[in-house]
Amino acid sequence: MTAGSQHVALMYRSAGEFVTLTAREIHGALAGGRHVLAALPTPHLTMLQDALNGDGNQVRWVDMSTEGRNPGRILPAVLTAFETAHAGGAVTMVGEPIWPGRTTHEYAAAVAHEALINLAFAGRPVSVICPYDADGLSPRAIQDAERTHPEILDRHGTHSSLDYGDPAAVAAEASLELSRPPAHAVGTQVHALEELSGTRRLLSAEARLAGVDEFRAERFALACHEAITNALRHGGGRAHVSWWREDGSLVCEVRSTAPFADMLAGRRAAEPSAEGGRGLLLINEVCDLVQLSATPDGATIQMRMAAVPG
Amino acid sequence: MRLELPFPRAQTEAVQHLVFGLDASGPGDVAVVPAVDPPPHLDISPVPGRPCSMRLARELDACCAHLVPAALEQLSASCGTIELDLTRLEFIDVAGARSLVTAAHAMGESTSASIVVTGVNPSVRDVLALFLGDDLAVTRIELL
Repeated sequence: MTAGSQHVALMYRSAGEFVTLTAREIHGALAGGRHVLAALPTPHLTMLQDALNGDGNQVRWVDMSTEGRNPGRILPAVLTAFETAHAGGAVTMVGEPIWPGRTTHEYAAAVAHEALINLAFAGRPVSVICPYDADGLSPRAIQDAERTHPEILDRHGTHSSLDYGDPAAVAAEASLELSRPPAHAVGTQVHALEELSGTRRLLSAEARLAGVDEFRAERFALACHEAITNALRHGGGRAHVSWWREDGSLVCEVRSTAPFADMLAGRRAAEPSAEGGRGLLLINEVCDLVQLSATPDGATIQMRMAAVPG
Repeated sequence: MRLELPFPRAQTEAVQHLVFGLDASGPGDVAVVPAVDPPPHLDISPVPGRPCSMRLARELDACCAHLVPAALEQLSASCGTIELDLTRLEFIDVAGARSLVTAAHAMGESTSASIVVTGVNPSVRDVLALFLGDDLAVTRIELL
């Protein structure tokens, strides 16, 4: 990250250490007049709220288990939203997007998210501190944290990460971890905007048959509709759409030759009148998980909606 | 169970796969109503007796969204506030929502006209809220 911003992985080895280290950072930030947000999975949220006592009232609390279930949503809806609400002021955000129990695909999306934080806040007075369960997570997760964070903080102090990697390259690599459509996946091609409506109804019906309730099925179908629209508008006039059930979710994949140049697409705010950007923001907002990957000939997006909301 | 799906004929095969296909967890007791091609997406019509009102019906999506600003522009020449009746609008997408914002911006530049949107059903309201978020106040669009 460039001057002004900070992105730190906070390695803790026990619940007590988590509380001590994060509380210390939050007290320090508040004392320095910074605005503070803490986005944590449920148990950590209550643990830290109890530990902060009165200072907790000055912190904006967010349940990462729900608000950050889709890691692609964390930047636009949680972190950037908080920064924008305090435009110009210095902000410190404690965000724990990775915890033991994340699925393989959620994990890959969360690594991409962590890498992109370095691009999203470059040069602004933003400090992002990401707690990592150094005992509970796999060695690979700790290595990935060292690739995605310029600085590491633990009980011994703060040091530069020797393995910090190019954010765009790390995010692109993490984004390649998509599912392979199974043999029984249903596939179709969409060639024209006039076919959007029918395809959307089909996907909505399929989501309901997979056990997704009507409200979420409609939202999921809308997300797929937006992905297909993007593919038709920016790709070679054709979208390859397929869908299947996997681990209790319906997965919809949209492949196209649309170039995928902006790593932060769908993660940064876009004006309502702007031509692009809002579709991907909406996709990130409504789906349980979104993975967007550049392929040699274009882009692939996989969207998931669970039958049982998390 | 009878499943009525007005899907395009081009996708008949995909629909048959979907319902009778190889996914063992799929339903075995669903009858798919034969394909019909969907009706025209968007209807734009005047509201009798209300010269500053316009009605949008069926679906406002990327396919037809470009029709809306032109239709609204005609009204804005003679109306200060335009009522947009969405009672019969079943669906809107991002391009559709953007078309309303674009039209409102364009009207604001040339006239002082604004848009009041009425009869918004819950699913359309959901999309407008997702799309516009906190920006509603600056769009010259009022949701009733």
